Amino acid sequence: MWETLIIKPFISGLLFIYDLIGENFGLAIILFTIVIKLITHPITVKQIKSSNALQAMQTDKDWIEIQKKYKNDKDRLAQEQMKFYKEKGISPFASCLPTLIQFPIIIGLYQSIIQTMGNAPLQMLNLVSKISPWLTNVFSFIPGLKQPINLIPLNSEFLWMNLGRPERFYIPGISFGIPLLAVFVVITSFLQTKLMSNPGADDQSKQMTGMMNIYMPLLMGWFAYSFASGLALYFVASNVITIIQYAALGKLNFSNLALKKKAVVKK
Amino acid sequence: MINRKFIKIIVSAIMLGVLLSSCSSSAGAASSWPGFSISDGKGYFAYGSQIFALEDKNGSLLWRYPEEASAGRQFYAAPEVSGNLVIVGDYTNTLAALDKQSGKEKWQFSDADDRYIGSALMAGGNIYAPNTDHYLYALDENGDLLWRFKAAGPNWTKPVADEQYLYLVSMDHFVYALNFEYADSALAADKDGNRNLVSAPVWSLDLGAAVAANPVISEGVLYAGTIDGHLYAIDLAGKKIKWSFNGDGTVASIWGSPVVTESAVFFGDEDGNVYALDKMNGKALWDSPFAAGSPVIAGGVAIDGKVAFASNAGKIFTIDENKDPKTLVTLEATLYSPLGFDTDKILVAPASKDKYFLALNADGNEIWSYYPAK
Repeated sequence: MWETLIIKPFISGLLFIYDLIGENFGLAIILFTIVIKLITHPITVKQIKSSNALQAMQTDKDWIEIQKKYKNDKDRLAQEQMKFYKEKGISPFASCLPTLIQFPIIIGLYQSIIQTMGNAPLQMLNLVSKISPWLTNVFSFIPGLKQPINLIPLNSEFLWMNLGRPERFYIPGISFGIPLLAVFVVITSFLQTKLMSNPGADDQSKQMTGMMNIYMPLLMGWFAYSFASGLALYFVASNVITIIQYAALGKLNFSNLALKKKAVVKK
Repeated sequence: MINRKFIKIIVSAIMLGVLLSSCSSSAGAASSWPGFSISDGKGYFAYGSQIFALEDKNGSLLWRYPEEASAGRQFYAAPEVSGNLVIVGDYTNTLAALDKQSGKEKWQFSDADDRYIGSALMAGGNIYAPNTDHYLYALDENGDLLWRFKAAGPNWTKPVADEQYLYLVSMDHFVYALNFEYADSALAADKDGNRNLVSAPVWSLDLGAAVAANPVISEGVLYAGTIDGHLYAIDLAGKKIKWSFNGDGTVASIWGSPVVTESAVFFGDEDGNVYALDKMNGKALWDSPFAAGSPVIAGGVAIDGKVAFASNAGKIFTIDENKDPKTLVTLEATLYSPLGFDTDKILVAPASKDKYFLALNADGNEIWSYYPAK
């Protein structure tokens, strides 16, 4: 089911783009990520709207009143909250549903990229069994298209990278390679989490957000450092496209990037 | 409260890590199947972190290399045995020559940049080692580089040779004919100024799809199966395709070497069909292929006028030019590796962590099995 609905169509799409743009796998990863982001854009918009509504609710006078009034009566609190949702037309699950829909797509995108980069016998055997010519057949009017099986093995060279292996950038005179792409992943992940996070209402939330802003980019950077650079390229592409997507919707918090002075407590 | 949330973040991060790692090719799981070869009554098996040399008659261990397994080195390419040397390549970038009697390492060659998936060939005292970094490396018997040739893609198959040329069939879709030796003046300089690059093959031929299985040469014809389901017979003297067969588009990917007998060529495909063709013209000998019931990834082996194949689901069977299939045994194992045959034994290397290697008699009964000590 997962293979048929997600992985096989995604692999077909990725190979189709790869063929269309002259067998450049790096560009194919970037373009395919853009295509998937465009397809899921309406869901993202819905998620942002629902999430904003929920956040606005946290500062609503009536909502705060309900929290205070019934803090010792959980059943009543739940009843009043439901009443509040109904009155304001808010669905508490509205922001979860788009995420739930997006999650398999993101995982499918990631898995299809990984599987398409297969460069060992078992991985290649797995890939070949999932290749289908349906997309090529649909667009058979485009001249010069190849059958996807004849595109194998993919050209994994992109800029200075071999997309099937961890990336290192070598500078003449320096004996070790610099993980440039991993650095890009850390920077773009940091920018993404920083620009897209909303300042929490309380100190605890702020602390949590602060930790996420540091640990997530580092974790993604470590993955980019250790695993195939095709994956790291996808991380960078995905981060940059998501930032652009949120910028286009006017949902970036540039104020999060401003250096904040610590409050000085006067005695 | 904050500690609980902090723990949640850490747990989420670990889960994300596990998810990413499980899908990544670098996660350390087996990425290929065992490779083995037979020479002078001994079997040399490459599977995972070690090479095992076993006595064919009883499966007793002669030596293992390296003596201490390490996760850093993985071996899947069938060892090449010639003279007193066993040549083994690993999944980092190292090719090693071992003493055939003791398994002691004589030298290492680590100039390649990528994996050795295909076996090396020893011919005329030299070693020809294909690597996935696109190069074929020619070394002398001391492991010194003589020359290297760059294909347009990774090389997964063992080179083959006739009296005149060395042939490399690459994943880049091409068959390349190369000389065994090149004078320094015929070689181009690499970026360090060393003259070791072969500029162009003697001749080449485009097969249109990748070749993952070792080709076979018989009577001046090279037989190679592609992953788009074509079996090609290439006339080496004429440097052209003699015939090709794809069953009008019904043949699936070919992952195993073809078996060439006196008058026929046998091969299996990913759909689990086994075909027999007339060696002269590539016409199918049977009205329909034999359906093995599960993919036939492993190459076959000729046994007393018949050909033995293994299907992924563990079925080992023989078949002949009149079809007449006979199931020898069905093992509870996944079989991807070609079968081996030595005098009266069929050697099998399942892709299983529990049962590494076993020998069967002609009736499919187990003679011995070898489980590496953990």
